[in-house]
Amino acid sequence: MPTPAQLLADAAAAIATATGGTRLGSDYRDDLEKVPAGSTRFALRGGPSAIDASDSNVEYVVEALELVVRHRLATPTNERAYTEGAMQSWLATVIDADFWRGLASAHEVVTVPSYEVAREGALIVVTVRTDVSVRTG
Amino acid sequence: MSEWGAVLDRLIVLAQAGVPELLTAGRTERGIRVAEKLSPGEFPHLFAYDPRDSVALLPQLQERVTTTVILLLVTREETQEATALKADAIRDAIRGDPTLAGAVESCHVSERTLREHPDVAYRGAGLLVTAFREAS
Repeated sequence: MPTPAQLLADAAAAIATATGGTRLGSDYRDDLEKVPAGSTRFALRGGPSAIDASDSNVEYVVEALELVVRHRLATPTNERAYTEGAMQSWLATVIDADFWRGLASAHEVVTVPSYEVAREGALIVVTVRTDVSVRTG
Repeated sequence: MSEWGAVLDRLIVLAQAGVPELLTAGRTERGIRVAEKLSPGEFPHLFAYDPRDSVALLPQLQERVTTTVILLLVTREETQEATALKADAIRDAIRGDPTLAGAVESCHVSERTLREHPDVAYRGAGLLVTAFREAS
C-alpha cells in the first residue's frame, strides 16, 4: 500500500519535471538558501488532514499538500517576461487535478488545486494547494 | 565606479539640470567643506555627501538596500525664495529620473530643509535623497 510519504516523494519528482526546478533544502524556512537568477526552486509541504475509513474494508489518508515554487527573475525589471512566459506553462500543469491524480501513490484529488502568485524582491512565488487521498489500508 | 559614486554623480547631474548655474566648474562636488571657504565664484554650490546604506533581508537571502544621500545647496546673498526655488528645481529633476539612470530601482527626496542664520549671508537647502535597490 502507498503511504503519505510515498505521495510526497512522487509529487516532488513530478514537480521537478514540470517546473524545471529543484527542491529547496528546507520546506519550511526561506532564509537559508539563495536562488540564483533565472532559476527555480520549490518547497513541498504535506500533512494528513483527514482519515477516511467509511468503508470498513479500506482506509484513505487525505493529505493536504502545499507547493511553493520560487523563481528568481533573470531581469527583475522585466517581470512579465517570466509571468507571461515560462510560468504559464508549468502553472497550467500543476493546477490541473490530473497532474496530482496521476501520481502513482494517489487515489484521488479531494480538493481541486488552487493557487496564488506573489512577488518578494526578485522572486516570483507561486503557492499551490490541494488535497489528495492515498489508500493506505 | 562605486555604487555610492554612481548615485552621487547622477544626483549631481540632475541638480545641474534643475539649476543650470551649478554647471559652472567648481560649483558641485562629492563631499562636504566649510561653505565660508568657498570663493564667491563657487556659489551657488552643491555638496553631495554622507551616503549611507541599510540592508534588509528578503526571502532566499535577497538583500534590499536602502541608500540615503544628502544634497546640500548653499547660496550666498540670495533671498530665501530664490534658494527655495532652486531646492524645488533639484527635487523636480530627481522626480524626473527616479531610477537615477538605472543605478537604483527608485529614489525620491524624502526630507528637505532650508537652513538660515541671521548673522551670515549664506543659506543652505538640504535634501535627503532615499533610494532603493535589490542586491544579489
